[in-house]
Amino acid sequence: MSDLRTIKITVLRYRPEEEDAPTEQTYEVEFRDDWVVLDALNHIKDHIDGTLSFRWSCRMGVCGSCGMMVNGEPKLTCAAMLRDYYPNEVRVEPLVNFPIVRDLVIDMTDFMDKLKAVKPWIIREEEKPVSEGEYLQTPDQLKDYKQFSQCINCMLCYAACPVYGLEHDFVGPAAIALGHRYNLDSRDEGNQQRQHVIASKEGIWECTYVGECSVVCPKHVDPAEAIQQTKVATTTNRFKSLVMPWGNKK
Amino acid sequence: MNYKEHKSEPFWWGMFSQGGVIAALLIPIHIFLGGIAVHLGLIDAELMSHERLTDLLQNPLVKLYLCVLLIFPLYHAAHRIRFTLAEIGLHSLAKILPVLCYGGALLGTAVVLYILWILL
Amino acid sequence: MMLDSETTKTYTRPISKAWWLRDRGHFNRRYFMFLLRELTSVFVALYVVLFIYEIFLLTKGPDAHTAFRESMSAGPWIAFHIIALLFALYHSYTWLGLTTKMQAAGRGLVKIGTKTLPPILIALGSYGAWIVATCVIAYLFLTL
Repeated sequence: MSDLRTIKITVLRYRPEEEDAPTEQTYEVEFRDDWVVLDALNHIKDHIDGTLSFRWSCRMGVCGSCGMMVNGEPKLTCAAMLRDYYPNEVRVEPLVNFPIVRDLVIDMTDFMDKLKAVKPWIIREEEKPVSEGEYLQTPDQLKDYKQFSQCINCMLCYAACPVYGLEHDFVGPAAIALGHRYNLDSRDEGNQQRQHVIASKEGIWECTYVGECSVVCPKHVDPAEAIQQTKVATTTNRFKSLVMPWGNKK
Repeated sequence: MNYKEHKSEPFWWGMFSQGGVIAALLIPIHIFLGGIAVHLGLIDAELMSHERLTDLLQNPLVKLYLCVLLIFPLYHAAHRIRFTLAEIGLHSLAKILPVLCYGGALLGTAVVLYILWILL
Repeated sequence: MMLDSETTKTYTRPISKAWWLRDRGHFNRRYFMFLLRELTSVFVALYVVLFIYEIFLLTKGPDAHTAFRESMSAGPWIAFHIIALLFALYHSYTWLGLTTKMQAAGRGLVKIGTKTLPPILIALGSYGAWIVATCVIAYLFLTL
């Protein structure tokens, strides 16, 4: 019924036990109109070459594990339609700026460490007992941070960020945006515990607002603006504390 | 990684962003008037004559305005040049670039103040 | 799964030195525009330095300043000013647009009571401020 078309898919391969540097391999895949790049990769793995390695899970843009470079742009491969590239060939590479473990699989250790460092969870100076009920929040208070809470940790923003590519110590877009998300949460009191990470040399000050992180984000989190807002707030507080050193430092 | 809040970056970034606002709002019209319009005969050449400009500079408000116009954008440019040079290949100089760039802006500040309040 | 980076043999493709032209085989127009945006500051700085030099010449008497003004009327200097103006305008455009983008994300920058001010008002405010500042400076320069 639906007519099949054939598209060329070139994949970056890296098999550490066989080779010291990545190579390329091209596959020809018959695809249906509703196929995404991830469908093609699964087709290759199931029917053409079972040795191809890549990460994926939900297939619906929620889990954040199928991020790869598609024709040079960081994309969730489950959301990149093949028909948008046809009749040109598609190049699939692992996310740049990360070490490649095998084929399209990258080592995300660095990101996980940074994510942990910004303490992306609600911090209270003192937890109230469960019997006193939940921490309430108005819809307006929720709106303050909701956009920044949509992050699925897919790391596309790290692959898009030349600053991270040049300086691997940079805390990076997603981690800072998530720290910002909790700082903006009316239930949170952990600002002070995150500030030394977020406002460190390796934190917001490393960012030069290329803005590409926000362009590639599949969830419209806008990490670039999260960083800019944090810079404004930190600078304002710094100047305030210089002018009024007796003021409340909070 | 041992993170530490950076104490001086907010100061330089604050100067950078103040300078960015001032450059964005005021620099284009100045370039147009003094650098283009007067030479193309769109406005009277007398407006940029020595007599007229020294006359304007008698006004302390004009001096103050020039301070703002000339000093803040220097920090704006210093900050951007510092990071851009590191990003296009001088990454190994990342430690010296702030000294050179902000040093240049500080020197420029001193020169502007010296000309406006001592020489004039 | 976390990896032991000591024992796992990984491969990292380093970022290109000229990444704003070509990064690992691909051209990204936005990287290039970013570099142009940063380059605007060089023209701003050059213009400011030239301006400072002119005020300095004012203190040296009419002859020195008149000679400077005459040299500025040469073609290459007019061309420099036209290019500097284009870069300065690109700076104005990107810089003033930035405040709008910041306002549009999450909590924004300006809140009135519990509501974030609509970004369109910030856009009108910042581009409006540019028009007002430009007109006021031009008016004062031409009439003072």
